[in-house]
Amino acid sequence: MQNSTLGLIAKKVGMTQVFDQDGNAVPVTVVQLLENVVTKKLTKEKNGYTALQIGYEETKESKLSKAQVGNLKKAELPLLRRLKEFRVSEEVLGAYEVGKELDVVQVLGEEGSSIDVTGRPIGKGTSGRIKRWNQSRRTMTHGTKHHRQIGSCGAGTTPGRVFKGLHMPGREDNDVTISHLQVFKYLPEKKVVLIKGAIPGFDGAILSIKPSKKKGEWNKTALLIGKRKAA
Amino acid sequence: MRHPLIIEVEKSFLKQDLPDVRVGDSVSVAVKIIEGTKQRIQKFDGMVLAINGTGTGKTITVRKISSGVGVERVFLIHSPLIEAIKILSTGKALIRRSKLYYMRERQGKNARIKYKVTSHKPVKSSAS
Repeated sequence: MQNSTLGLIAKKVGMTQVFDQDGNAVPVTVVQLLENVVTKKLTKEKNGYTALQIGYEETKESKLSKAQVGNLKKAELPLLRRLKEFRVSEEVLGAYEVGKELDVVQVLGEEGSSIDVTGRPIGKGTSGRIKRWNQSRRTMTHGTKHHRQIGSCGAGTTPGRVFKGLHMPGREDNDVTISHLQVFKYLPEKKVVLIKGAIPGFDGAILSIKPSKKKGEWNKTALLIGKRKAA
Repeated sequence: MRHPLIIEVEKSFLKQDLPDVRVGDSVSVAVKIIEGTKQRIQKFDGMVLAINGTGTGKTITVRKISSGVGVERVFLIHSPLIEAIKILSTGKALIRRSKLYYMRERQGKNARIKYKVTSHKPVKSSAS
């Protein structure tokens, strides 16, 4: 993959079901692509790393600060509200110009290719260990005073601390990446991509879509599963 | 409420030539069945008990009595596997309910609804 880390910004519209060539009903998420204009090229000499800055969501001038407007006008760009960086290799960086809109098929690949989608799930706020880590509850009756609390979280003097990464209650609405989703169909005239399966977030959530990171391995596993089924 | 863009996306997957099936209609549904490489058409004749869903997810529930046993099937009417839907007779004018689940408890002569004689000509649909 040439553009291994370059991605696109899109908006989740909602889910529906459509039919594939064999007549099967396929659950798909309708995703609307946003502007995806290259707003800046970050180079190794200037920034220490190579990346493309992508802008999306066009707005009114009054919604932006003068600094933002100045930056965008200087580069002769539309008034974009949000910016996001994607780390890319130097060859990819050379292939893009500031002001150029990204091409979906070029970035994600043909229909049927595997993609990773990152989004913020519907917020669950601060949640307990049962909801957050699928742990189990103790009995609610029989005189127990411990129902949904966490139990022991470590030993005593040795090691004398709580290990990092221990499953505990806390905030549960961080960004989630779903790997190996499939591009079902492109509808370029509507700026829409149909992605097979569900995607995190509420309708209208902003997503970042990249080609699958572990593409080769995924294909191998898929093959194995297919062989097992056939046997 | 559904997003206008979703409705727009579904449009290309919808059949344009489906007959206007209503609850209480007696219909014949031709289903494509694929067995390995062979393909054949199976017909399912019965009464429409319910219509559910919208867009590509629209379904009809059809009930028939097969050798004394009631059989119900739910068809995704916009599916390419549904070759055709033919209206045999329509009972619309005499039905006030949107779901005819009470027909499940009826047997024999009671399990009929009075059909209105109409000029409604059955429209044959072909899979797109």
